[in-house]
Amino acid sequence: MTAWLVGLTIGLPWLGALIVWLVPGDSPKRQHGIAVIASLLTAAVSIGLLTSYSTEVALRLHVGGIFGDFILVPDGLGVLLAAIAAIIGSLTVIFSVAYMEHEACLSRYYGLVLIFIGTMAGLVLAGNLLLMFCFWEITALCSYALIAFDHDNPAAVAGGLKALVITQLGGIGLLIGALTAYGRFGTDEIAVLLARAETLPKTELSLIAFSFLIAAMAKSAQVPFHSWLPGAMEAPTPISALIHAATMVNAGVYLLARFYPAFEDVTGWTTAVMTVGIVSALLAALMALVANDLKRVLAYSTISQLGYMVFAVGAGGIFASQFHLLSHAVFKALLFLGAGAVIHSVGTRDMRQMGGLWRAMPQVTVAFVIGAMALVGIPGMNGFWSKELILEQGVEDTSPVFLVGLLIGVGVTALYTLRLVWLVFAGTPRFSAQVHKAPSAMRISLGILAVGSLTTWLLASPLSKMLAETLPYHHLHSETTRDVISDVMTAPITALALVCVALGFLLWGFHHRLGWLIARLQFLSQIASQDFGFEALNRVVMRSTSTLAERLRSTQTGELNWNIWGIVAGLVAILIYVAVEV
Amino acid sequence: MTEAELTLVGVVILFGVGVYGLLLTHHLIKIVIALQIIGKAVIIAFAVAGTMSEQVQLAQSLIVTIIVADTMVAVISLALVIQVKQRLGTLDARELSNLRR
Amino acid sequence: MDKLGLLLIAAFCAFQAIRTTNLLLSVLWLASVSALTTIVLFTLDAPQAGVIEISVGAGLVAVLLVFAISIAGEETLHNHDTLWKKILRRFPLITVLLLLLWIILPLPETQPGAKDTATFSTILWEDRALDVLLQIVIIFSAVLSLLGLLADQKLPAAVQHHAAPRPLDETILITEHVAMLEDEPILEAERELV
Repeated sequence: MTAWLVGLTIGLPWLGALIVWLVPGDSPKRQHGIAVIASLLTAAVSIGLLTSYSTEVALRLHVGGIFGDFILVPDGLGVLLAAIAAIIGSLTVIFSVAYMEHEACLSRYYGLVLIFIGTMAGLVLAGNLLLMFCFWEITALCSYALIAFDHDNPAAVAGGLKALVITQLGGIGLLIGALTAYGRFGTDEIAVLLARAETLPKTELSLIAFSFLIAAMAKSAQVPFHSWLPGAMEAPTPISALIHAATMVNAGVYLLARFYPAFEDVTGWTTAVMTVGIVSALLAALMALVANDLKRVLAYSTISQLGYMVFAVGAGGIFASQFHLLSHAVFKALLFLGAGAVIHSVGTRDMRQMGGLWRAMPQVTVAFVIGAMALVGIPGMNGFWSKELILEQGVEDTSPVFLVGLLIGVGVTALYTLRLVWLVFAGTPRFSAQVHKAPSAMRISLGILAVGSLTTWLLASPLSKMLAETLPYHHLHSETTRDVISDVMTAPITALALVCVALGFLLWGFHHRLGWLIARLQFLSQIASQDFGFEALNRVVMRSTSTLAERLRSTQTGELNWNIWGIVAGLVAILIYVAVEV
Repeated sequence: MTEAELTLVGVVILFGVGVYGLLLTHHLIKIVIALQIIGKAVIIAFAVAGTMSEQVQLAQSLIVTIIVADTMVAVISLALVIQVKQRLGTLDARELSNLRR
Repeated sequence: MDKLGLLLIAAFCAFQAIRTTNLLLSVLWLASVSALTTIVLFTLDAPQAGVIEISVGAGLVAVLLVFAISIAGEETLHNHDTLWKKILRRFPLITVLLLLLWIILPLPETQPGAKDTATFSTILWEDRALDVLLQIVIIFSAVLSLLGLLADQKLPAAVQHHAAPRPLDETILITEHVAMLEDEPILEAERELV
């Protein structure tokens, strides 16, 4: 039974992708319909999977003697992320029905989205490192192809290539770690690595730990590898919501959380993880403050929130990080889809040309404000409970420096979120276009996600129980929702965080009178809008990759006979080498 | 020389003929034929290696894989050849080289 | 010894397949190479592989080649360039070089210890299951790309007009979509032809 559920969660969207691809291009209605049906079925199956989690291997694919079997394990971590991918995936597909209404190449769009949903489920359910690596790379490929979906737009193609190059370079880290583990244990099963990590020599274990960290940083867009994520905002907005907010970027956090017990004792690893998290959280929040592109602000905010999750993993708060991951997936998908509805009707992404939209689209405004409140951490929203849990983890296990950083991050988050909502929805309209109401397909998705943002924190006890029961190496104990509430409500850090939020709001309220302060901080906003120089760093990586490719290009004469001479020369060289050696 | 070694000499000659074909020809269909010849030489080399290490069955299963891959290469390249002929009206590989900027 | 003889005949057939200017004859020569290969495989105790080789190599591939030739036409190219003679002179050199190296090379010690006891089918379906999976993937992707390639056949007419940007075809795969960016040179060449 579980085997079927696991197989269907991965296989159904792939089947749907194949069918969508085969449907002729002149019947868009059918393409929309098939994509929606396939994604909804996947979501239903994934909910079934949520109820039948276990530590047992659910599906074993026999692939011969060399690499062992491919196994899929539906444990708590995997099931949670697979369900997020399938459910939010189905909501974004429903949203796309309206958003992509008049676009061409729908089969390519839906095909890639469905392949992505299945692959993401496979990535988190995989029980082997090699299988995980394959899925990891396929998600990167889907992400690239969807960012560059509009391939007449040079910015989109450049953004896609940048995302591809940077995440691929990170993927090499995963491959190095996986091969090292395989070389030592003779198997690439994740459970074996977790169980026998202590038997590895120190240097090898730290090699694995740090190369996994690099892979996670590239995938989860952490500083200094973050700059592909803002560039990825050229993708159609539903893609940004699904891949670049709710699912794929979480894969890095997932990787760190999955292997935390194995690397916990590696010297400097947890400190490195926490530092990466906190630096990303702070810097990205500052960059969000000065960006004017609606989607870029949300992208920086995603980096910042992912920073919180990475920090939580480093501090040992696996449950807190996964809880925040769930909350963030829901409210950030809501924010992106809300932004999509706004962009769809206004026709620009520049917030300076929006304003006063609450009159024209009240329902979207309500949904967006709910998402924004969850992002800030207003009590009662799902983001509040999970963020406070992370802060609490910061109090327990780390130095005060980290804690101060976290609190500043909370304040800046409040500031940029209020600025965002204010510029888009409040005030007087600064545009001339005729705003039309959001279509019903968009409103359905937004409504469901808004309800989710208000309620997913109630799932704390089943989530905690699921994680505690199926992750034997993480030594988690299960908490009920009531525990979480009493923990958060009695902790002094909660009050401090709320004070920071209030300060952030006040700063925006008085920002007209604080001109002198803003003028003083002008240099900071200058650097922040330049991505603190990391953009230049990433550009160097990109440019050296493409220059190398361009150089190597001249060796490709395109003449077959020339190539054959090369092959023969290589063969002769090898034979000479062998002859000399023997 | 043992029998296996003698067979391998034959394999090398067959392989050499295939390479010679690739070196020589500009005709797209001839290129496919030359690739097929090289593939056959490799197949026999595998079979010889199988008899030498007494793992004939393993060698056979590898040969099957090679044949499948080789045939698919032929299929795709023939489809490409037809496309080239229909779009550019030639079967000469040198003409294709002129297409580069 | 008999195997060497068979292989020498096969090499001769292969040589003829490459030398002849008649494409259909060339296919026949190739089929005979395949048949000789099969006989060698049989003498090497690999009958299953031999059967597949004769049916696929001499059967399927030959049919495909004839099919392709009948569509693309029997175009013979006249090679009067210097490369021909140059390579012709070098050909014996290459073979002799390879053979010399071969004679210098002592064969590695073979270890017959791992003698396989399982039958062909168990090895293929169980030990080498990954290969079988890959073969399925290869066949599947080959069929898909074949469909893509042959579905494009209407395009040249549309391209020759140069009027509107080419209609975006739904069947274009991701890999092709990079290639699309480099389509411009082809268009120029076509203009020359027209």
